[in-house]
Amino acid sequence: MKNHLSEHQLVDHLFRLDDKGSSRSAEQHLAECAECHAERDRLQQKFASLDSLRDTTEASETLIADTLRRIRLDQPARTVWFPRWAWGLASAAAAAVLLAVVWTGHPPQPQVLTLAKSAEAPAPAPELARHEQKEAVMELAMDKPMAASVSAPAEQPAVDGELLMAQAPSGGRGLAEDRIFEAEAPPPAARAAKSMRRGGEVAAEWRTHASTPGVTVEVTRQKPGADAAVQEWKVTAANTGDVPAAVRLERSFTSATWEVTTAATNVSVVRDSERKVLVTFDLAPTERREFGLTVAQAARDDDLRE
Amino acid sequence: MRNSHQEENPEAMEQTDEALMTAYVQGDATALAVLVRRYADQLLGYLTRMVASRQQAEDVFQETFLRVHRKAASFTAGRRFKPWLFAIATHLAIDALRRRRRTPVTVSLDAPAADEQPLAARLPDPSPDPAADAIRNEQRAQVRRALDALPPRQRAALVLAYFEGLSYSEAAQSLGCSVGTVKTQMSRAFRTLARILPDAPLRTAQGGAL
Repeated sequence: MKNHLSEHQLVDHLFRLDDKGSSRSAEQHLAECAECHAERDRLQQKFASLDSLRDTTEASETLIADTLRRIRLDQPARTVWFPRWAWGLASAAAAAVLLAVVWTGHPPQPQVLTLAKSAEAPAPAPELARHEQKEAVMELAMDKPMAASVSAPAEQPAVDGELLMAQAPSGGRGLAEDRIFEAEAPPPAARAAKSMRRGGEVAAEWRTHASTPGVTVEVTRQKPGADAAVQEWKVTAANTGDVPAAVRLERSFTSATWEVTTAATNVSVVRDSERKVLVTFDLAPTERREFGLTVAQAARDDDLRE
Repeated sequence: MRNSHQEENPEAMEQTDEALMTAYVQGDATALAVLVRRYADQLLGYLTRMVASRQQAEDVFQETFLRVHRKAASFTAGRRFKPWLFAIATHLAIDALRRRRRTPVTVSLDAPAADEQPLAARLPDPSPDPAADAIRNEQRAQVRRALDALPPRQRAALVLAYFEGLSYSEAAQSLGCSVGTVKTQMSRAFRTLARILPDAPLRTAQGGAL
């Protein structure tokens, strides 16, 4: 018989990959051609071995639990988005400060937005911390709806991209009313999202002890001061790899629990002692010198509590 | 697929995938857990056939559901969940395959390969025919090697439609291509396998085919 079916046609016919017309004519041909019939049987036998991989794979409970835990921990850090009028107010205040600077001839002071409950007194002067890396973002999650107000200028001058830390009014109101954010503008949404995305992964590695070169961030609990209700925490980022040093932050916090997220890779969070947490992550030396760091209230309040 | 678990309520178990996604977007945190359990076995099976090792399959499995969680808000009404889930998984699996080609794989001596059983399962088998088991394992390894030889997209089309039983339409949605392209990829994959796989099935000493 002329015009035997090709392997292509036989395969398509076997697995119903051909259209109806081709299928019908192949069927007809196979009914009449013993040679093609035998060839189809040979292929069929060959493909029968594929079924050896059909056995059911069962996902373990551990895998499912780990997956659900990662999802749970991946909740993005809650970021407070200011209403437009707040940014308008901030811009107006910045313009006023600029005008004052020009007027008085003093060097420019940083603009710091401090969050406070709208009904409460305006914030005192913020503490400032300096670092040499661009575009670091560090923020504390907010628990309650807040309004923005503009604080007085800080004591130290800021540079472009410098990390600013604004202090909420004191009086034991605590972490929920503190916010640290980048100078001048809210972090771009894309970068903020990038920061958030790493959150769960970092948290999932909580208590792991991997050690990689890069940047080390220490969150250290200081000895309680005279006011025992206010715990002293120091956050320090130091260069331990091929990354320009350094971020140094100092700040009083009233919470004992932290969740640190970064946009970097190979992040490990190690509870080094009762008073210290080490956060280590890699930044590729060839990449831009930037990283996002979010410090948020963690769900596990017991982790670092003394 | 798993049908029940103590963590989820029975009502949620009855809901469609799409209704569960809507519920999750609206704040029902347990809805995604139901979906994870519903697709756990099938998705892991797919990934195990797609990537190099069981460990890598489990990594991609976790990453897939993390993506589902993160992209939940973009899951639009009228869309079907299953092809969307497998599209995410396929994308991540192909990425993992490409990474594996660029970087040498380090395999733990303790970790089972994708087609292998864990060590405990390889302990002396009480089954009456160890020779048949050995041949079955060898046959599985042959098929596994043949699958590994396929380009990632051909492999994905084949595994989705042939092994996982997705319709051509679902496979097309998962791969982001037309039904015709899926069929073309499958046809090429089968022809490649026809060249790689041995003609005769392996047989035991008694001559029985497996």
